[in-house]
Amino acid sequence: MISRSYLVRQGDDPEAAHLLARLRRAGYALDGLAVERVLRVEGTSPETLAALTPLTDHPVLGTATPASQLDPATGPIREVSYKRSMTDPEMASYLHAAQAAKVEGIAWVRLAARYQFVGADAATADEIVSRHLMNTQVQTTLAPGEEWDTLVPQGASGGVEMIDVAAMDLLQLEQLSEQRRLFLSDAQLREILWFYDAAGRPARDVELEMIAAAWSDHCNHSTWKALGLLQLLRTTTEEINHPLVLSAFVDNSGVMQFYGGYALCIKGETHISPTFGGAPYGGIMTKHGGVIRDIIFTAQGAWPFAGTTVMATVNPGIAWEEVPVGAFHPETVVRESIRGTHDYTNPMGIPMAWSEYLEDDRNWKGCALGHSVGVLPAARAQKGTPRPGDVVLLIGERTGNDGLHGATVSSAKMTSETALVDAAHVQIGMPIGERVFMEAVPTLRDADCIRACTDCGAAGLASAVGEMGNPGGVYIELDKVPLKCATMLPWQILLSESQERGVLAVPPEKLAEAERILTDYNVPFAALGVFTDTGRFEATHGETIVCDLPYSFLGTDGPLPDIAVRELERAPVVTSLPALPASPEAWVEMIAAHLARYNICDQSAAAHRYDQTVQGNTVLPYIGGLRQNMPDELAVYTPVPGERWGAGLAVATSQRYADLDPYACGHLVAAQAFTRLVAAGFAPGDIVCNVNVYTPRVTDNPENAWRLQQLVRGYNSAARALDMPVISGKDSSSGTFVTKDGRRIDAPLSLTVAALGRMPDAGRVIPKPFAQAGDRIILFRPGHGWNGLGGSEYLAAHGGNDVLPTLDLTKLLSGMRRYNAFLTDGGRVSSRSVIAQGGLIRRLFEMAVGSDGLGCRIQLPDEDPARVLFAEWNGAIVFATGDDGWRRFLGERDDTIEIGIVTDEPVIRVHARGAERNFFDAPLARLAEGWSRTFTEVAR
Amino acid sequence: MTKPSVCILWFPGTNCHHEMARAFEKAGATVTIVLLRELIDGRRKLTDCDILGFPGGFSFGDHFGSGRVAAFDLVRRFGDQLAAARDKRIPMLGVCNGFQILVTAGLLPGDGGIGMPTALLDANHSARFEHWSETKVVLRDPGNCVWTRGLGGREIVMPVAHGEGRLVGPHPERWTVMATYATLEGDASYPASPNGSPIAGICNEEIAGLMPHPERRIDALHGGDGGLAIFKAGVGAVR
Repeated sequence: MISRSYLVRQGDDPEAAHLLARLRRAGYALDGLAVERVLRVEGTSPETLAALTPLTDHPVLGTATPASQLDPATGPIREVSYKRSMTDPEMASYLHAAQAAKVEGIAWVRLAARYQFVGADAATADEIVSRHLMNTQVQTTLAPGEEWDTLVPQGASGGVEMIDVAAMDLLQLEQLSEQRRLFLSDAQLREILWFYDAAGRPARDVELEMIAAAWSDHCNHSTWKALGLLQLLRTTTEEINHPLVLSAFVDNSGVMQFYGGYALCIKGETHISPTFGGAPYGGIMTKHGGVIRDIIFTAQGAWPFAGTTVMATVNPGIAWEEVPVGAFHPETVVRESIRGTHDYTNPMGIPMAWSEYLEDDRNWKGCALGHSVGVLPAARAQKGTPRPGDVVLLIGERTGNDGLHGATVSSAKMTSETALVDAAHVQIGMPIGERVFMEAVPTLRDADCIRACTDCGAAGLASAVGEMGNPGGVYIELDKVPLKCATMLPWQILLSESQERGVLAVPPEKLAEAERILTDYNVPFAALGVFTDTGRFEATHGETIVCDLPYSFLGTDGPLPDIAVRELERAPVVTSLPALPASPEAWVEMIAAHLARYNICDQSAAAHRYDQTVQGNTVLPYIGGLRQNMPDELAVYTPVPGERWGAGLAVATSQRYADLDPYACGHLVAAQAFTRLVAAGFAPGDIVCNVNVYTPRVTDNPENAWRLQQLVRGYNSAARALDMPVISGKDSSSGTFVTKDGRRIDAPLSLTVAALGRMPDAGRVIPKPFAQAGDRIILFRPGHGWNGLGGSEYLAAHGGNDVLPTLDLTKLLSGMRRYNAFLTDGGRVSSRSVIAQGGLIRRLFEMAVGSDGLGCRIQLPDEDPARVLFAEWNGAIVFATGDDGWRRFLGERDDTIEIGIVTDEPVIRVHARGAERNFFDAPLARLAEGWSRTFTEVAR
Repeated sequence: MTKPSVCILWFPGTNCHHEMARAFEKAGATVTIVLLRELIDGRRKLTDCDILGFPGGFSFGDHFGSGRVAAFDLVRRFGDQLAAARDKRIPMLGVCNGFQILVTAGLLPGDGGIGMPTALLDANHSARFEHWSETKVVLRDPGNCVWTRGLGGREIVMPVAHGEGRLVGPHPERWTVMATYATLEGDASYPASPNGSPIAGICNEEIAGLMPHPERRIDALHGGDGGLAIFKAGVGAVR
C-alpha cells in the first residue's frame, strides 16, 4: 500500500516566487507558478501514518491532503522526483520520526515536487522542467496520473560473473573494457591477460573492476607517474626539508606543525566528470563531501575547520544555442554548484574560507575544485598502519548503486554521450550522514579506537579497504555491507562510491568501545572483516569467493601509459597593446567595465550563501569591508579553542598564464598565494602549500604533456625558491570535451595553489580596507621586472599581445622577509592587498570599496599607465601606512614606490607623477555599478 | 559557589554546540553536551541541568522543514520531560536551528502549548540561505525575559546564517520580542534583516530564541564580545 499526501503551502511561497522570477528572467512568459510537495509512503495505512502528520502539516503552512490540491485546469503540472534507483535523503529522517511515534511497517518513503505553470502550454512546461528543474541523470518526471506500483528500488540480482580473459585476444579484451566502462589501456589489458594465464583460472568480474580502479588515473596518478611528476614533487619536498612538514604525499592530506602540540592538515580535490558530465548539484556535493572526508580520515582522525570552492566554467551569459550537445549550460553549472556547495558545507558546519567563480570559453569540461583544512594532535599526525587481526569497520551511510565507475570515468574524456552512459557515477549527498562521523572520529581517535583509517571515495571499498590492506592483506565479507538496495551485485558493492562512508582499522580489544561511541553519535557501522598477513585482498559474498588477488599484482602501479612529450613551438610574442582611453570619462568607463568582468567582479552573492563564521573561530572572513561585499584575499581562523594561534588560507588560481608560459605560471601563482599570507602578517617561513593542477588530456597530446611538465616544474621550483613546500594536492588530466561532431575542446591548463600559514597571534592579522585618510600608499614589488600584460584580464578584454610579467622569486622572498621584519619590529600597516588578476586598479578599488567612505589619490610612476594599472604583478603588495618606518626595512628602491595617499572621499583619482595631467577621477559608486551586478545576475 | 549547569542538546546535524558550550562556559557555567542517544537511552534527562541550550545547525538535515524532525522527537519521545523543564522554569535558549526547534515544538511563542506550534520560522524572503558576518541586532528588555534582563537597547553586531528565519504566524501581537534587526523598532529591509522580518528573537519568560548567533561573538579576537552578555544574563538568572 502506498499512501500519498499533497501540500501546497498557504500564504506567500518565497520559493515559488523566487523560481517564477528566475523563469521570467529566462524568458518564459508565465502568469504564475505553484509548487506542491508530495510525500509517498509504502507499507502501512494512512490511518497509522496520521501520527506523523506534524512532519507535513503546520498551522501556518497548511494541511496535507490525500489528493492533489492543484487544479489541472489552471495550467500544466509536472512532477519531479528522484529515480526509483535513488534513495531520498529524507527517508532516514522520516523513519527516525516513525520510530519516535511508534509507527511500524514502513517499507519506503519518496518525496516529489509538482510544479504548475500558469499561462504556459505543455511544451513550454516540458522545456522548463528539462532545462531548469531536473537532472535527468538522477531525477524523473511522473506523467499526470502515472504512479509507481512500488517505491522500493528495483534491480537485477546476481552473483559473480566468471570471465575467461586468458582465452581472449586483445580486441575482445578491448571490447570487454569498453562494455564494462573500465577504461583500461592495451598494456594494462595485456598485463591482466598474463596474470590470469599464469594463474590458470578465469577472472571474476569483481577482480577486473578492482584492478581497473586500482590502476585508474584517479587512484594511481598514472599520468603523473609516467611523466615523473609525482616523484619530482615528493623529492623536492623532501629536499626542502622544511621543519614544519610532518606528513606529505603519504596520507589523505598533508600535515604541517602548528603550535602547542597541534598540527594542521590540508587537501584540495577536483571533482570534474560528475559535475560537468553528470549532475552539477550532486557532483559539487560529492566534491565537498570527498575533500572533507580526506581531512576527517587523515592519520587517526582530524577536525575540519575551513573549506573552499573554486568553479571554472564558460561564461554563464552565453546563449543556449552556443552550448554544445552533451554539455550543461554554464549558468546551470554555476547556479547548481552554488546550491550544491551551500547544501553541503553549511550542514557540515565548516566555515567557507574562499569561493571563486572563473570563466574561460574553453571550460566546457571546466574545473570544480574544493579544499578542506583541519586540525589534529601533532602526536597523531602520521598515517596509521593496520595490524593483522584489526577489525575492518565500515562507518557511515548505507551503500547504494549510485556513484559507480567514478574512478575509471574520471580517466576518460567527456563526450556528448557521457551524460547518458556514465550516469551511474552521479551521487546524491547526505551531509548530516558525514557530519555525525566528523563528530565521532576525533572521539574515537582520542579513545585509541583507530589504528588506521581512510575514507570511501573513488572506487569505494575497493580503494579504501584495498589500499589499507596493502601490502599485509585483508579479508572482507561483502554481504555484511549495509545496502540501500538489496539487489546489488558484489562488484557494485565493492565499487560503489556512495558518499559519507569511511573505513577504520580498529584494534579488536577496542571494538566494543568504538561501537558504543559510534552508536552515541548516530553513526551506522558494520564490521566487514579483518586485516590479515596473507598479502592478498580477499572478499566473499555469502559462501562465494568474489575476489582473491595478491598485492604483489594488485598493489603495483600496473603498466604506466607511454606518454609522448613534445615541446610546444611558440612564436615570439610581438607586443601589441590597445590604445589608451582618450579622455577622463573614457578612462572611467573602461575601468568600470574592467571591474565588471566576470573574473574580477563582486561575487559576494555566492559568498553570502556560505556560512563563514560557524565554529566561532573566524578571525578574518574572506568577504569583508563595511558593506560586507569586499573580497578579501585570505581567511584566518583560530582552530584550537581558547588559543590565539592563527591559521591562514590563501588560494590563487590561473587559467590564463599557462597559455603563454606554463613554467612561469607556476612561479606567478605560487607567488600570489604565498604573498597574500605574508602581506597579512604571516612570516615567510611559516607557510606550506597544496597544489591542484587541471589539464586537458595529455596521454594523446604530446604538447599538452610538455605543458603539464613545465607547469609542475615551475611551481616546484617556486616552492623551493620561496621555502614553501608542497605537502599535498591532486591532479586531474581529464579536461577535454569532445563535441558530437568530433571537435575537441581542451580546457585551459589550470593551476591552483592554496597556501596554508600559521601565526602565533591571530590578532595581528592586517586588514585589507583603507582605514585612515592620510595614510601613504606604497607599492612594494620586490623581484618584479618587466611588467608584461600578457595573460591579463586587461588584454583578454581589449585584445593585444604581450609577455607575462617577469618575477625573480629569490628577490621576492628576500623582500617578503624585509616586509615581515618591518611588521615584527612593530611597524604598522593599516591596510594591505596583493596584486593579482585585474592588476593594481582592482586592488585600489577593493580597498576603497571596503572602507568607510575613503578613496585614494594615486600618482603613477613614470611608466605606461596601462602597465601600472593592469599588469598582474602576482606577489606585489600594495599597502597603506601612516608609519614611515617602512623606509628603514623596505628602503627607497626601485621595487618600493610611494604611489599615493588615502583620501577621505570615495573617489579614485589617478595622476601622472610630477605632472598636472589627470588621467581620471573615478567615483566609487560609478565603478561599483557593473562590478556588483555581473555575478549577482547569475547567482540570484 | 557551584557554577550553574547547562545541558546543550545535540541532534544528528547539530553543528554549533561547541561554540555555544564555550559561550556558556565563558559566562560562568559548566556545560554538558547531551547527545540524543543519551536521552533516548535514559542516561540523561532534560531536567538534569539548570539551563537548556538548543544550538544551531541542521538537525536531521532540515528534512521536512527546519527543526521539524528534532521538534517531533522532543515532543513525542520526551514531551513529559519538556513539560517538566518548562514547569520548573528552566531557562532555555535556542539559537538559529535551536530557535526553529523551540518554535516547532510549541515552546515559542508558547501560546499554543507543547506540540502545538503557533508560529513558523519561514523561508527567507530571498528564498536563499543568507550569511552575513556583521548584522546589527538591538536587544529589548520586556521585563520578563531572563536572557535580555538589563540589556534593553543594547546593540550587538553578530553573524546570521540561515535559510529560514522569517518569523510568521497569525498572532504576532502575542509575541514577546527580545531582539530586532538594525533598530529598536526593527528593520525588515534587506540586508539589514537577512530574512525579511524585523524580528531577530522572541522570548517566553525563561525560554528564548534568536536567529543571529551570539555564541560566535564572545571575544574581541573573533569580532567582539557583544554576544556574551546574553549568556551571562541567562547564567546570572539561575545563580
